[in-house]
Parts: sequence; structure tokens; C-alpha cells
Amino acid sequence: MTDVSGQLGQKGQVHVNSERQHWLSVLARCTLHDLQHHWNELTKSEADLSNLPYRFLRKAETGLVMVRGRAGGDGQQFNLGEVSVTRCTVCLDSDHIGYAYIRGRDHKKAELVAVLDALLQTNRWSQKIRDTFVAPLASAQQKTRQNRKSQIATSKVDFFTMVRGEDA
Amino acid sequence: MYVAVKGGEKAIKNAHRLLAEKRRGPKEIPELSIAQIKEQLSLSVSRVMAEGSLFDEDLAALAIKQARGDLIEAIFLIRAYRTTLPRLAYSLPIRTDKMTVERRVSATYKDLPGGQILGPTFDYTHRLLDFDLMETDDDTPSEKETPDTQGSQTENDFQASETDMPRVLGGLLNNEGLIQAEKLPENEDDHPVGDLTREPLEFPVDRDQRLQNLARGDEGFILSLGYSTQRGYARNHAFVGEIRLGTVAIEIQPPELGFTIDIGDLEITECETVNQFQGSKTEPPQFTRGYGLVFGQNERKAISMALVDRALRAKEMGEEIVAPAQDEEFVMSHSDNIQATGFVEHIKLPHYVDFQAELGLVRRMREEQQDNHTQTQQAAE
Repeated sequence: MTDVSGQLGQKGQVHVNSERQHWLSVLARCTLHDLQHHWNELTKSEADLSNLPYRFLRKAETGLVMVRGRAGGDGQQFNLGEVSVTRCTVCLDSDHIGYAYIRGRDHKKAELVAVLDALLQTNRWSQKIRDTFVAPLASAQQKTRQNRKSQIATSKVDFFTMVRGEDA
Repeated sequence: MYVAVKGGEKAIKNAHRLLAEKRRGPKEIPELSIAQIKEQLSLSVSRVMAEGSLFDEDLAALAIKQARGDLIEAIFLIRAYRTTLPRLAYSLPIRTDKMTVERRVSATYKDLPGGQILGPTFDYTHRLLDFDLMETDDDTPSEKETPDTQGSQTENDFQASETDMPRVLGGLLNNEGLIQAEKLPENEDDHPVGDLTREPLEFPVDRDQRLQNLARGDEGFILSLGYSTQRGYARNHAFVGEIRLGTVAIEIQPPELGFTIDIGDLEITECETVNQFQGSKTEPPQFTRGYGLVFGQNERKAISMALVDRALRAKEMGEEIVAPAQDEEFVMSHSDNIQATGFVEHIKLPHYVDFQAELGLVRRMREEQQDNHTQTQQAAE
């Protein structure tokens, strides 16, 4: 989804960011229900997480993002309209800071995404959460997109122009 | 002059109770859910989001429910709500070339790289009422209506081509230099993008403000203006180069993160028109362009917007301004249905003092006229 450009100088940094961009993008597209379901599954086996201590650097708050377009798709920028967005920032005891920016007004989802973003930066939880959260959710999203593409593909047409009259 | 009135609290309260009852309708009929409106009246939701200028399907559905299906009232509710929220960021320009396409057609090229995909459209329906929908027990498309894939393109074919779906105007026509390229301001980062929600409208305006105004403008008004350009009020014979419907990612760059993140998807309809242009002393004859971009699924609005955008570029193209659709002040000052309805409908509210003043004035004028008449008569006698 995201166009990962190497806008930050250091190579390693770009790599970390592109991974982080990926998980943030996947998490932002999940429903609260899916996130909670996976979280509950995870906390069943990992007792440490069920009472994970963290503090808010910014409690979940809803605001607006002004969406921009370009004339002709690639020309002058203009402001198209706004979209509701919720953001949240949490900090773990290990000082890892997790951010969430998600479309919509779901505070619980934003909080959970921020916590996951923080955990995904820790050595202890990173792999576990990639395997149990990010990978399956990403592949589910991919599957949904593919299914929709296949459905849409059935309406692909080939128009042909009829030659009329004697000229044929 | 408008003078406020006092009183009427009890009557107002009761009127609002009556309104609430009317909204709900008979108790024996099940109440509409937000999910039902969102999923089954999705084109109403699209319109409320576009003209409310806030993409949030749940809020739009709620507004439609509360407004008893009056879409302009619903748009009003959305506009009022958005003023209560802080602005967190501006997005990066959306990449419509990277759209996950639900529909993509061109009226100018039959054979397109990536193909023509009809998607969920009313086009080619017979516009006959479907009386099966009168029954609510089971209106899901039946077995025989499952996709007929016989003889059509195979899935693989589509998926292979879908990765390569170039823009019709920017990609195909531009290769031959037959169409004007979209201009980018120099030093784009330093060039502020006009925002009508922040700065009051002052004429003349640039194309960015016009496009923002049209994107949130009233569908009916923009439609009629677009139609007027086709009927000859602004000579702009237009073809639809391309229409796209689908979802695009919204990307922002929060300062605290310092890199771009993707925060979810947005449904969008895009239309590009191709218009004739005679050319000038300095430029060879070439096609010009109009652009329409609207939240949700709304092709009628996107096409109309592209027609009006092109008409409003008259000055830039050195065309004579002769028609309403070319007059930016006329178009932009009247396109907003919340402003329009506010001013039109406010004349039903109490204007007793106003009117008393006018009544007094008319009586006095009549008396004066009567006096003059009597005096003239007396003088004549």
C-alpha cells in the first residue's frame, strides 16, 4: 500500500521505517473486533501481556485530516475534504513509544494499535507479534482484496464498434 | 435588519417532539440501523460525505437517519459536527493512479491497457422497477445471478493487466503531446494550497480553491452547470477520458514520526474530461482537460465537476467569459448548498419587526400619494 521512499538518510533507518510503515498500515486497516480477537489469543499464552503496564503520552483523540488531491491526478494540489482520524501515543516501561493514527473515531482501536506499535519495537515481543498479528492480518487483508478483484474482474468488457450500412 | 424574537419555548419543544416521532414513524415498523443505511443506501452516504466534506460513513449514515433522509439537512449536520473537531494534519496528495479499482471506463479509447471494468454501475440497466424488491424476506442476488464468467476475460488476464492501468489522459494522450500537461507550481513545497475552510473566499481565485469548492458543492447545482456547458453556454465539447472508482490509501507524515504512514483507505470517484481547444499563436491545437474528484461513489457529480472545472479555466485559456459556468464568482458563491439553504430558508423565520417596518413604509407612501392626489384635484378645481 504505502509507497516506501527512502526519505530518511540512513539506510538502516529506512529499513526499520519500511517495516514499521507496513505494520502500521496493516493495523490501521483492521477492525477493532479482529485486533481484540488476536490480542485475546495472544494474552492467553503470554501472561505478561495481559497486564502490560504503559502510560499515555497522548490519550486517544479524534480529529480531522484534510485530504489532498491533485488536478488531473498529477497536477496542482488542492484540498478535497476531510476525514475523521483518531490518534494515540503510549509509552511502555521500556521507554518504547507507540503511535497510532487510524481513519475513523475508534478510541479503543487507536489505543490497541499504539500499544502494538510499541511492542513491535521491542526485542522481546517483535517477532511474536509479527507472527501472531501482522502476518495473519496482512494475509487476510490481501485475500479480501484478491477476492474483490476477482469479483470485479467479471465485469470487464470489450466494447467493439459496429460498422454500419453498406460500407462493411 | 433582523430583530430577534423571544418566547415560544413550549411550542418549539413540542414541535421537536413531533419531529422525533415523525422520524421514527410507526412503532410496529422496525427501526433503521446505521449499518443498514451505510450498506444499503451507500450512494446517499457518499453524497453526504462529499458535500458534508467529511469522509466518515458511520457519521454520514447517522446524519441521514437523524435528518429523515433529507440529504441537505444531513450535510448540514455533518458540516456542523466537523467544526467541533481539531485539524490534525493535511494528507499527502492521494495517488489515484495507485487506486484499487472497482470500476474504470473510458469513452475515448475502446482498447485500454488494463481494460474497461464496469464494476457496480446503473449503466446499461433498463430502469424498470424491480418489484421483487418489494419483499424484504430475501433480496440477496439469487443463484442464477452469480457471476457469469463464460466467454469473458479470465481472472489471470485481469490480474496481470491490472498492475498496469495507466491514466488515459496523462499516460496515453500525453505521449503524443496532444493534450495539455497538468502544470505544477514551481517550488511546490513553498506554494500554499488554498483552503476554503480556513480562509474566506476572495476573488479572483486559483484552481485549487475552485476544485475544493466544486468537490463540496451541491450535486444538483454542479450537474445543471455542467449540463449548461454541454448545451452551448461555454463552448466546451467534452469527452470522458476516464472514470475511476475505487479506494486509495490516505497517507500523512506526522512530525513526531518523521516518515510517511498510511492510515487507512478512502473511497473515491475520479473523472477526467478531454475538451477541444483551438490553439493559439504560441500553442499548437491540442486537447485541454477538466478534472473531477469526489468522496465516495458519485459519478454524476465527478463528471459534472470536470465539466465545470474546464469551463472555469476560461480565463487561463484566454477564452471569452460569456456563460454562467465560466464565471468563478457566480459558480463559487452559489455552489454551497448549506449557505444556499441557510439564506433561502431563513426567510421563513420570524421577520415581524422587519415586515412591520415595510408595512408602515407602504402605508405612509400610500397616504402621501393620496394626499398629493387630493391636493392636485383641489388645485384643478
